[in-house]
Amino acid sequence: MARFWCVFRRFFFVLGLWIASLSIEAQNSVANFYKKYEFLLECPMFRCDIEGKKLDTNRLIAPIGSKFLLIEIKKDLCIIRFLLPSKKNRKRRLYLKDDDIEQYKYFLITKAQLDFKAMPANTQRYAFTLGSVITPLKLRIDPFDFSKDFTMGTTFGIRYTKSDYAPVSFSALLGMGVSSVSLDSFTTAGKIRNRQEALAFTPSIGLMIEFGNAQVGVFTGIDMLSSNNTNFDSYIYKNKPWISIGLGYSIFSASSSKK
Amino acid sequence: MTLLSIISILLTLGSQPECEGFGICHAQLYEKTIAEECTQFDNCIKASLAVEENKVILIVSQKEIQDASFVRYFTKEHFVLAKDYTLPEELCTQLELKEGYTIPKGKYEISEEDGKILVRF
Repeated sequence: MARFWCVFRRFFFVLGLWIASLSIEAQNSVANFYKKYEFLLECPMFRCDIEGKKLDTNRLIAPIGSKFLLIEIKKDLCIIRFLLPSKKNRKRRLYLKDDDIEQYKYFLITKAQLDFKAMPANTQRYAFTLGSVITPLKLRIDPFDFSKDFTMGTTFGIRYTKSDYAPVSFSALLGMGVSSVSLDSFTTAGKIRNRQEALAFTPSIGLMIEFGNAQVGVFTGIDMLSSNNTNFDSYIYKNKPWISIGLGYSIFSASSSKK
Repeated sequence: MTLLSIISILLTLGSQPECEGFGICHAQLYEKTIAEECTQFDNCIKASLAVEENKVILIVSQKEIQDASFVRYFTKEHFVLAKDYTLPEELCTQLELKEGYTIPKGKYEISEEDGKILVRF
């Protein structure tokens, strides 16, 4: 009974970590997309200063695909400035001297234009990602076997988004989780006769493709039984990797909501 | 990164011969008298050229460029050069480039540094 509660507590501890990680991902997404937009349609605009005072009556047309920062919203008008990639690599910087006080051009668009003609833009192609993956089925080699030893845990890594328009991203992930491992006569080389379930610590690596909110990937890892487990030495897949399809689901998606 | 020389130029944007579309139509050394006339056209801007590791860099100040040209040519991720552009001899000499230096047509990444717009060809 005590062992059951121990396993029960561990399970909910891992579940708590998983939910917490999803919350962090949501906060991270909000920070990444805050105030950055991209025009999906041509948009009329007027030149202004940083406080929104119109400098010119000439109407300009913002091109499709241009990205901008939302500087301020004043009633039904928005002050924006266009966003160009900055050179983050210091070795490549030119360190230009400039005496200009106002270096940027600011423009006015209406709030209605912002709502209907622009969407939040992802200017960072690479981003840190934190999430959760479940591997429901594992293929084991040497000797070949497959089992329903599922793993659930936290994953983190680098996510690459190719385009703002196509909701597809690729992630290279490292994972840590807890697995339910089936121990039986086959997997313990005949040491035990009755089937048992044991918990194992499972580090893993994998590649994942995300399309919308759906995530699927290929993972490999090792199930590490506790050294206190009496079947630790007889487990035939000790230190042997498995291969699995990983499934994930993103409850929070930055691209799906408009700020 | 140190630039050996930066020269001020008058740049007419667009493709030759009519200076329409995207690209570089005409470039010449900056002269105040010519600039007054040239910059009456939206696509004529004061800019700078520099050479870094044998590559030409176009440097544009947001304050120097007219709004229409800025919006049309420098608000997207790439500067489009629709046709090859061969730098005039006087610019090649000033930049210590081989005579007839040609920038091939293509899409070149636009970046921003301290408020300046940079295009590395």
